Formats: sequence, structure tokens, C-alpha cells
Amino acid sequence: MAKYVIKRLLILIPILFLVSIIAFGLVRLMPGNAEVAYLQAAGIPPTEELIETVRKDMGYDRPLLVQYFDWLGKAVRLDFGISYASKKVVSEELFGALQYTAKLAGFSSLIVLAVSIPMGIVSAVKSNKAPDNVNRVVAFVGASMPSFWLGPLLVQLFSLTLGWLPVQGAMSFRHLILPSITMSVLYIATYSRLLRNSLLENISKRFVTYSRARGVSENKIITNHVLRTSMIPVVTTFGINFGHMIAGSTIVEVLFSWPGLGRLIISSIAARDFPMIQGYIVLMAVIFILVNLATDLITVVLDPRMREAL
Amino acid sequence: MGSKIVLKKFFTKKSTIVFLCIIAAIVIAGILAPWIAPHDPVEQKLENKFLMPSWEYPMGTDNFGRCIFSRILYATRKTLGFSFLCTVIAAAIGITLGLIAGFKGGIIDTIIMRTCDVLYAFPSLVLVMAIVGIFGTGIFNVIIAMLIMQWLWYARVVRNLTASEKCKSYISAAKVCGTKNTKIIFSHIFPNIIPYMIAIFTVDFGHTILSISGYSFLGLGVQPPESEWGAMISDGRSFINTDSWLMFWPGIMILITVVIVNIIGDHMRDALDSQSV
Amino acid sequence: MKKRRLKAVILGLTSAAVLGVSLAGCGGSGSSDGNQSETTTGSSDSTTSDSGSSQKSDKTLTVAITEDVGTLNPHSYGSPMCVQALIYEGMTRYVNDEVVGGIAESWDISDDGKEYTFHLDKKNVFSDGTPVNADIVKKNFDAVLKYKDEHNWMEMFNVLEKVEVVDDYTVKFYLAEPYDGLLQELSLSRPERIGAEAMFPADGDTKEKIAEPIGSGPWKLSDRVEGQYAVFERNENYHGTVPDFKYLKLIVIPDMNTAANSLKAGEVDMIYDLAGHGTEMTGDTFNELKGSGFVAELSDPVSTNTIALNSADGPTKELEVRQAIAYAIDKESIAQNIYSGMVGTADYLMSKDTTYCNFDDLTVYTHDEEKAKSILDQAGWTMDGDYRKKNGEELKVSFLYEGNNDAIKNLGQALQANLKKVGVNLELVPEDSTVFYESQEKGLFNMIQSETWGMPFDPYSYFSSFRHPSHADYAAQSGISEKAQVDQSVTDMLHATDPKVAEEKSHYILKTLSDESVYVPLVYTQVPYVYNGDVVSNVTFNTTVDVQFEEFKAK
Repeated sequence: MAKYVIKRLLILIPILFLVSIIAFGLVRLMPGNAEVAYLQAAGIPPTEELIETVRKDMGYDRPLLVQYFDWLGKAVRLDFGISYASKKVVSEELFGALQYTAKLAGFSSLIVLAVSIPMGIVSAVKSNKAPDNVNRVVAFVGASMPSFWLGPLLVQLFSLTLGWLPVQGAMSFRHLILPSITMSVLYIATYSRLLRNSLLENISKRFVTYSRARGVSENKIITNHVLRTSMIPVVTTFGINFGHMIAGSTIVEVLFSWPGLGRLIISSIAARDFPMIQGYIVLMAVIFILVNLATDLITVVLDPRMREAL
Repeated sequence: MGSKIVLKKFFTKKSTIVFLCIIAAIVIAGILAPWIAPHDPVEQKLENKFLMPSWEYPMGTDNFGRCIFSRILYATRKTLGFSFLCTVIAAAIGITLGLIAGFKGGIIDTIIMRTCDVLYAFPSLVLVMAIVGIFGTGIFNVIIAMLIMQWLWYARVVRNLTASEKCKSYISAAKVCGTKNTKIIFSHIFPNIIPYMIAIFTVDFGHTILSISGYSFLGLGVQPPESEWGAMISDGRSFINTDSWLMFWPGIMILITVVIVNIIGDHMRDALDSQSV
Repeated sequence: MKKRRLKAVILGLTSAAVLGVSLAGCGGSGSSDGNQSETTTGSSDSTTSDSGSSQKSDKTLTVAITEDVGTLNPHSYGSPMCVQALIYEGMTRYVNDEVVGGIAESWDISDDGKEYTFHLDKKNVFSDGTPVNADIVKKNFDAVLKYKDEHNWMEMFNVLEKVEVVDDYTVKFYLAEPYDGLLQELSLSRPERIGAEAMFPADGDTKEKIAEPIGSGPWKLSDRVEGQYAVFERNENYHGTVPDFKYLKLIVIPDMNTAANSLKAGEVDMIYDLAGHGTEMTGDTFNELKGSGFVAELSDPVSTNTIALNSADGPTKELEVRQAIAYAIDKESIAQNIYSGMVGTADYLMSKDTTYCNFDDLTVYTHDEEKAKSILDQAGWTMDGDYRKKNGEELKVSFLYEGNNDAIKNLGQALQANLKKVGVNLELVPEDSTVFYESQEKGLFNMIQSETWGMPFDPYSYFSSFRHPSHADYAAQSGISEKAQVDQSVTDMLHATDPKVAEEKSHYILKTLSDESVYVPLVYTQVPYVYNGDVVSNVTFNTTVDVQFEEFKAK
């Protein structure tokens, strides 16, 4: 187990190295130069002399390698500098936005679990009967639904026609509902099928047959034995998908004006706010990596067979 | 050997054929767009704004008086064309690298697989944002960013299949007989991975359609006046209240296409599962 | 009490004679103090506020804006202009095409036009109660002048040398050269608005940050959640019209459709599209909201929306091609269909209301497809298939624009359709903002959408920018043979002390540009704003710089 954890931690080194290269390198390679971006993000019309001044101030006239290590040294302390556009500390803005994205992803995950677990169980128990077929159709449609189509439709129905829920914003719990639903539909579709398949696989296993032979009630078999083992793949994908939700919330955040990382990055891209873009790339990659690592470790703990295999 | 049975099982299922026909019809309609489309998809006839669907304009007209049906047809070429291109290139790269890694083993295998691990840990949307944010918007930048992330799924599966296939006795026998490596790959290993590739390809294709139209929706992908399903939804969103069909048609096209692609993939997996049982 | 305002059209001038005439014409009073300089008063009328605060409403007005209120630093560009104008006052204010008093109640201008003496309103205090006196004005200007190079896109910072305290409530500005546009530029919402002592950080340097956003404007910041909203409370100490609404809440909604939906759902009371800081509103949305029972109105023209043709690159190097394009563009249809009739078509680069821009003999190109075709035929561009060719080369013109701007995207598509009719292939080139600015600077375009800077930047700051290679205007004009004379005329105009000379120079500039067809004036930009008439009334917009929320009345 310890060996496995060490191995997993070691592989983080090349990943983080790649991330830093992407974050630093791409920004320095880009076509419009950073000095112009700096001035424009600040709303100052760039002139030759100003560009020269900024280049000196920002240290862009130094050799690239020196700049890289300087940047890296600060980045490991989560210091990505000052935003070109807002003149605020980048890491503070990112963590501020992260809270909202995490809230959105967290609540979406709750919806996903609350809906997909019952759906998966019913499908498995009534496999290939009417409920399963209905679920199957729902899952297919859900997995194929473009969120940028579903979102406006939900707003039209629940906010404008019925007036039940707010259109945009993040001021209260009610504001969280529509974006979370929009975000969770895709995941509900995949989870419910995953759980169903996993349950079916376990139901056919020998210990279930024995329990049946011993006269254990069907409900008990499902809840006590089958469900527990079947949850393992659900937990695994849950972790990975949580990472995906955080990284993939852009469309939903733009649609609902949710003040999270997705909306922040879109406006930063538009403003060419390079310190913010760099910070975003690094932060996202780190979150994604940590979530994946945690998921893998939890899976190992949950599943005795995996532990032996190590 | 097993793959033939799987493919036979896959292609003899009636519903599969039906779905394949629908998707083929959509693709052909897109290819034949210049001949089928009743109107020029970019020509603006501002006096014809917001017409309801009619014989002349089967899906109505948009805010520029353009024929939505014609735009949908042309958009099919963009959305499906770019998605297909992206998926095929990713598959080609992934399969090639997977075969090399699985067949050669050793240091090459390690390098390719570790690269996969590294990329796997990187969120794809962030990479797309990084590349588009830095090199500018446009469908080619989006596709390049997506390719960087997509090939690894194929590579992983192909590598594992190849590695396990390689150990089988008939391959060793072929090697002993002096059969060339390329021949072994193409006549023995490759056929066996096809069903798996189809299964991954369909899922991937569905994802890619959603991604490409999503990026176009955000204004990062296909640019005007070209029509693209996601971009059409974005354009039509302003009119959801008054002229809702502007965003209805492209949305329903994406939905139908992706659903069908996913179902086909599902059938392929069913066929594969039944073989393993 | 009579409002004493001075027409900006004439006020820019330093000549005593013209001032006298204009003052008489405006019914205001200007007193000569005998030292051969003129005193003019332009105080906004504090005593006319129609009611005491007891009668003011305690309601909140909620408005959607596209970006966070930002740094709230009046000396930098980190906030939307209209937000800076909520909290801080400038020396002057620009209202209804006129320069009126702001922090300065009145001013005298020396004969040589190099010394401006400003008299401050002695009763004026900042929202924290500290007085608005000469010392704090000087402190603000010193902080800005320390980095004057960053602001030299404004002519004012090229000529303003120093600001000195005369007495407690009098300051004097020293200019290196006379500059006609000073009073107009002092009304801008940045970077020279005045903050209180409490605003300055310990080291007194406001370049990067400020301590507290305290000014003497009509509003003060009361609550804020970054990235979401900011609430402003009315400043009861304000020396102008004290706002009727108790609170002004600005909610950040970057997406137009979402903002329109919020208005429909009653979450915001008003949306507007102001110089890129409001929500980009298409004509269709405007009309749709109007149809749903909201009050949808347009401001007076604030700037001119034009197409700049690059005279130094590609087929647009040819005068004939530029003229043909000008004739081929159907402005009326664009105004009706792209802007849904929300704008008026423009014949001139600068609307005639603008200072020194009222001329009748400029070349005007009205839509005439046949004329466009015949000009191209004569120039040797003959039809070949869908498009024209000359020497085997297709008549292909590129249109550069910022990819995320829907309104310009729509415009580009309409222009494409217009030009196709005369055989010109317009290629749309959407770019991301930095690339866009870079290409614009380097002149890597044939056609570009361009906008005059709007009042109160027009004509001074806008003409001034013609001379700087970093602007698209420079690139577009650089191919014409009279470019050097145009630049010289701009310089002469800015520093003229005789209005006749200034007007003559302005005429030469505008005449040359219209003859050469460097710009195709399309429409006069008007700010569209939509509000809920059940919540607010008396809504007015008249510059590109600030929104006069203090004039809005609660219902």
C-alpha cells in the first residue's frame, strides 16, 4: 500500500512539470505579446514607449529560462502575481471563484447521487422490463443532451414562464438549483447505467445464489451484499467526474452568470489576463490530479481485492 | 476470430441497422447539402426575417431571413465533419501508438503509457481553454487541443489488447515462421481490436459532437457566416421567447445525432459483452 | 436659479471675444475681471434639487452590468467608466453636449491659453465629510501626473505641466502649450477624477491601488461581493442633484441573453449597452423587450459607427475600390435590420453637433449599387463568376473584428451580403482581442469597424489619435498622399488659440478623409437602454462616459 502511494505521488512530478510548461510556455509563445495584453487589460492604449516600460517592469526582457524559474518559484507558493485586468492577487480571485464552482459541482453531485442510485437499482431489479427500458431511454437522452440547449430551455420554463426560480446569480440556495440540474443531467445518465450494470454483474455472483438458497430476503440481499460491492465503480467514477465537473462548468456558469472559475476564465481569455490564465491552468490541473489521487486511494481502501493485487 | 462473431452479431441486430441508416441519412444529407439545400445558407434576405416553417422554408427563417433548413444542412457538414475528422485522427494516432507500445514493449511502451498517464491527469477543457486563450479562437485550434487529449483512450485499450494478444500461441507461432511484424499486426492483431475500437469510437464521436458544438456555442469554434449547430443555438438563444424554433432545430439535431451514435456504441458493447460471457 | 452652462461647441476656445458672444448667446453671465482673462461659471445647480432628502425614496434600483465594478480607482483604468463616475467627480462635467462645473465651480483662462485657474465649490465635501479643497485636488493631480506617460493618449497629459494651489479653494493648471480640449477632457471619468484623503494609500501612490473608494460623487460604495454585485448608497452630501433612489445595485451579468432574461424575471430593473461596459444589445433583443412591455429607449447620438478602409494595404489601396465600397454599403438597410432601427444613418464621420465639425461641403457617399459597379468596371475590376477580378486576382477584402462581439459579427455578415452584390468578396476575419488589436495596429486589415471616440472625447482625443501609429485610424489613413498634412493639421488644431484656425484645420481633416473615402460612416451610435417603467422614470443618457443615475426617479 505504501509503495503504491509513493508510486502515485512520484508520477505527479512529471505531470506537474508538464502543467508548468503549458502554463508558462503557452503564454510566452502566444501571438499577441504579453506587454500589449497587460496594457490593454488595464485599458491603456499601448504605445511603443509604454510597451518598453512594461517589458522592463515585468521582467520580460530577461532570458526565458530565468523568467520560467522565477515564475515557477512563485507558482509553487501559489503566487501567480497580480491580475492584469482587476489588479487583484490572482490566487485570491481564483480561490474566491473556486468556492462557487465547488458549490455548484458539490450540489450537482448530490443531485446525481440522489437520482441515479434509485434509478440504477430499479433498472437492475427490473432489468429489461418496462422501468429499465424507460431508464435506458432517459439515460440515452440525458447523455446526449447539450447543456447549452437544456439550460436556456429550463430557464424559459422555470424562470420566465413559471417564475419559480431565478434566472441568474449566486445569492441564495434557490440560485443554485437550475445550474445544478443543467449540470447533473449528463452525469445522472451515465451513473444510473453504470450502477445498473454493476449491480447486474454482482447479482449473478455465487454469494447471491447462496444467500437466496439460505432464504435471505431479496431486499436484504440487494441492500446488504450487492449494493455495497456495486458501489465501488460508482465511487471511482464519482471522484473522477467531480474533477470533470469543476473543470467543465464553463458553459453552465456562462449561462447562469454563476461567479465561478468557468466564467472567470472566459472573461480572462477575452481580456488576455495572462497571470489569471496561468493560475487557472495550474490550479485546475492540481485539483484534478488530487481528486484523481484521492479517488484511487479510496477505491483501494474499499476494495479488498485491489489491496491484495498491490 | 472472436471479432467476426461480434461484428456479425452487431450488424445483424435489426435496430442497429435502423440507427445506422438514420445516421447515414443525416451524413448523406450533409454531404449533398449544396444540391439538396433549397436556399443559400449565408445569403441574407432581411425582408424574410422570422418566417414560420413553410414549404418554401421547411424550418422557417432566422433573424437574417436565412433558410434555417439550408443552414442546418450545411451545419451538418461542419459539426459532423469536424467531429469525425477529430475522432478519426485521434483514433489513428491512438491505435498506432497503442500497437507500437503493446507490440514492442520495453522503453517505448513505458514512454507512451506514461505520457498517457500524464495527459489523463490533465483536464481536457482546461487544455482547450489554454490553447484557445493563447492562440486565438477558431475551430482548428479547438480540434488540435482536443486531439492532444483524445488519442490516449485508444492507445490505452489497444496497447492492452495487443500486449495480451501478443502472448497468445498463434502469434508466437507466426513469429517463429518468420512472418513480418507488420503482417502479424495487420492480419492477426488488428482484426481483433476492431470491435473495441468501434465501441470507443462511437462514444468518443458523440462526446466530440457535443464538445465541438459546445465550443462553437461559446464562440471559440466555428466562426460566422458558416453555420454550425452549437453556434446556431447560441445565435437563436435571443429569440427563445418569440421565435423559439431558431434554437429548437439545431438543438434537436444535436440531440438526435448524439443519441443515435450512443445507441450504436451501446449495441457494439452489448455484442462484445455477450462474447465474453 | 438659472442654470448657467456654456456650450462646449464654443467653450473649448480661449478667445475672449468668442466667449463673450457665446455667453450672451447662452444667456449665462461671464464677468470680466479686468486682468484680461474671462471668468466663466459652470456650476451644476446644487440649490435646485427639488426636494429635501426627506422626500427621497428609500428604494433600490438594480441594474445589470457586464463586468465587475473593479478597482474603483479613479486614477486607473481598472473599473468601468460609468462606475468611476458614480463615486468620483471630475473638475468639470460634460452634460448634453456642454461642459459644466464639477468640482470646479468656475474657471478663468489666461490670454495665452496656458494657465487655467479653477475655483472650487466651498461647500463641497467628500462622502466622509472631509472638504474638497485645493490641497486634495493638487494631491490627486500630482498622483496622476507622476505617471503621465501612461495617459498620453489624451492630449491633456502631453501639455499639462503642473497643478498649483493658489488658496484654499483655488487651483491653477499650467500648460506647456495652449490646449483647446482641456475642459472637455477634464470631464472624463478617468484618470483625473478626485478622491478624498482617505482614498490614498500610505505611500500616496495610487498607480496600483487605493485605500478606500471615497469621493464626492452622487454615490458611495456600501456593499460589494466581487464578481457578483456592488451596492452603492446615495451620498447625501452630494452638491449636485442628490439621487432619488437610496441604493443602486449593480449586478454583474456578462451574458446578454441572461441579462435580458433577468429583466423579464424582475431580477434587475434596467439593462443598457454603454461603450462596451453595458450589455451588448442586439436590435432584436431591444425590440423583443419593448414588445414585452418594458420601456426601451435610445440616447441621443453619442458617437459615429464607421467602417475604416485601409488605404495602405490590399485592394483598398485603390481609391476607386474604397469609393465603390462606400457606395455599395446599404446604410439604411443596416440601420433597419442590423440595428433594428435603433440608430440613424450617418453621412459624416463626425456628427454636426460635434465641436468644429459642422461643414456642408464634405463628400457624402449615398447607397448606389450601380455607381459602385461602374466605378469598379472602370478601374479594371471585371466580373468573373461571383466576384470581380483584375489581372487574375480576385477582389477579396478582409474584414477584421473581435470574434466575441455579436453585434459586429452581424454587421460583418450584412456587409458581406452588400458587397457580394457588386462583386466584392468580403472575408470575415474574427480575432481574439489581443490579436485583433495587434492586427489593427499593424494595419493587417482591409476593412475594420471603427467608432469615433464619442463625446466628450470627440473631436480632440479622437483626432489626436490619428497621429499615433498604434491606432487603426493611423494605419487606415497611412496610404493617402496627404497623410502628413492631416497629421500636421491635427496638431495645429489642438493647439490653436484662434477658433477660426481650429475650425479651418478641422475642415481640412474631414474634407480630405471624406474625399479619400477612408471612412464609410454607417450610423450614429445611440445607447440602447431598457428599463422597467414600474420601478424607475426620468431615465436619461447623454454621454459615453457616465450614466446620470442621480437623475433617475423612483416610482
